[in-house]
Amino acid sequence: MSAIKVRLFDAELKTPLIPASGVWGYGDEYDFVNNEFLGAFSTKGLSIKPREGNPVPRIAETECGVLNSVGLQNVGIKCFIEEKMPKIKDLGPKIIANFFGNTEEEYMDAARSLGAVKELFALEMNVSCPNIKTGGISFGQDPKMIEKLTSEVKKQSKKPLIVKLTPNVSNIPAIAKAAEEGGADAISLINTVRGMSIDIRTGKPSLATPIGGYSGKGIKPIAVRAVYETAKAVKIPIIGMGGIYTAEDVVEFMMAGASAVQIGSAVFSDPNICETIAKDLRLYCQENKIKDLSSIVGKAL
Amino acid sequence: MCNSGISDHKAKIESVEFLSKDIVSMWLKNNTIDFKPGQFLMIEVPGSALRRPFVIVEKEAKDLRIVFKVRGKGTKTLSGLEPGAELKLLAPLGNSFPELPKGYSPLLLGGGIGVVTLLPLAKLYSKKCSASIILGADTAGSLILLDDFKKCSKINTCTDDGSAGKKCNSVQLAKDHIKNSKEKFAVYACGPEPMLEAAAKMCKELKLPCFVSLEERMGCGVGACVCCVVRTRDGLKRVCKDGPVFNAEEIIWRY
Repeated sequence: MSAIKVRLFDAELKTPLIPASGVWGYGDEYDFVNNEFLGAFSTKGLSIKPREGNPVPRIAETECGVLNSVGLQNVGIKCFIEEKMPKIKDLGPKIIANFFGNTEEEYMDAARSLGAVKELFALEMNVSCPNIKTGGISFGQDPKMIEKLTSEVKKQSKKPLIVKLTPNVSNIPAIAKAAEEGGADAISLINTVRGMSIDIRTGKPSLATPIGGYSGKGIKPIAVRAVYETAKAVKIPIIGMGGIYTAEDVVEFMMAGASAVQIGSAVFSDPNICETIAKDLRLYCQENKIKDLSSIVGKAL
Repeated sequence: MCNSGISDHKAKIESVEFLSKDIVSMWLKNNTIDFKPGQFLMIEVPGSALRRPFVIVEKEAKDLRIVFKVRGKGTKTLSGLEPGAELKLLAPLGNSFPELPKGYSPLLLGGGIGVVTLLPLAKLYSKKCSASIILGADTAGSLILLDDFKKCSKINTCTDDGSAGKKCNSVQLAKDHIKNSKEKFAVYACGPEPMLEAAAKMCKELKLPCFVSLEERMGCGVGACVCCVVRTRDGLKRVCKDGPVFNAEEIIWRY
């Protein structure tokens, strides 16, 4: 599998494939999946205090993907460290802890607690949450807020810090650049796109919230564009995601500038999808005489 | 290491039969899946981003059976597939109905499409003891699997419109049955949520154990995405992983 190894933060990932935050739980549910094909996995979003999330229904299928509004339900960082970490630390894949907060202090506390966990590979900061102190504008929508938040959070731990960006802004590269200037070690994008659907038989929205996050095949062009624009704006590595289902999709994201990728909704179609994609990526490398998959990163730039 | 016993299987469709205008019985050729009563599987439907959950209704020789109501795009596509089409099935999923508490007789209480969940229990108890079976639906055409249940035990039926069996709801019929009998019952129920809530209330009043199989829209089916939660006395639980079968006392109902 050597051709499809990639490097991230001075470490080697067996494959560029990382199940995305939210689809892989805390890593202990997919015990029937062959972990050999995962470069890493990103945990469910964690917060200092446990969170209940939104009412059901929390998920709905739409024409080209999935809408969800789980509402960041999670067990809290203390429980994650004490109860989940012992179960997942020896599974094999590197563990990225995804976290969020509703104030700068909550983000900093979360980064400090998770930063102290030896077995974690990196931290991934979800900045799509509303900042309750500014009346609900999400941290990820304002370059100044992002730069300050990133630099404060970065001081809390020595782990590589990935900043996960929302696509629901007009200028993604400006936000990415702000995160880079704040000291981010990588950018991951895109988070889900705000969306909704209505069940025309009942006249009611499909989700209880009723607006949720749209993911899956339909958002791929938006994600490829976001990765491409961001790659032109920043020097730090990019982890691309949004509608990746096949090895060809992975190649496309890497050519747009992604050093690694995350797999989200596709896991729902096929829990073993990373195995399929990894094998197809190997074939792609053989057929195209590529000795090192990383060599295609940014080819389209 | 796989502790869950879950894996992704393949199965070809053996037969597709409409039991009513919108209820489909499908046999799938597969001898690699073992299941306990109450467990379910997630089927990959061509053209759908999400797999669809179906309770495993029975296993005969090398075939598994699911029975479902056509409700949306996924079930419509599935119902239109031809025998020979190959499907991917993640199975077996979820917990299962608990064993019969000592000193109790089983009472299986099904409403609408929910009756299909109880057939594995009816078959199980037909070998051990006699189960009381109460099946309800809105109208005669929706009262399904009657012959299958009759092979296991005597059945009592009811419909909302009186077109078959007694004209009443299934919980009322269960209540009458319990009152007219000397046995102590443990109730196993599956059906629409208001019916399950009524069954839970009845059992609480009569001080009888009650186990309910719940339904909720699912993403992963294995407990990872936490989309299918239900509120319980111990906080939110996942229908796909902590359920689908719950002790009715645990549930905080929405209705």
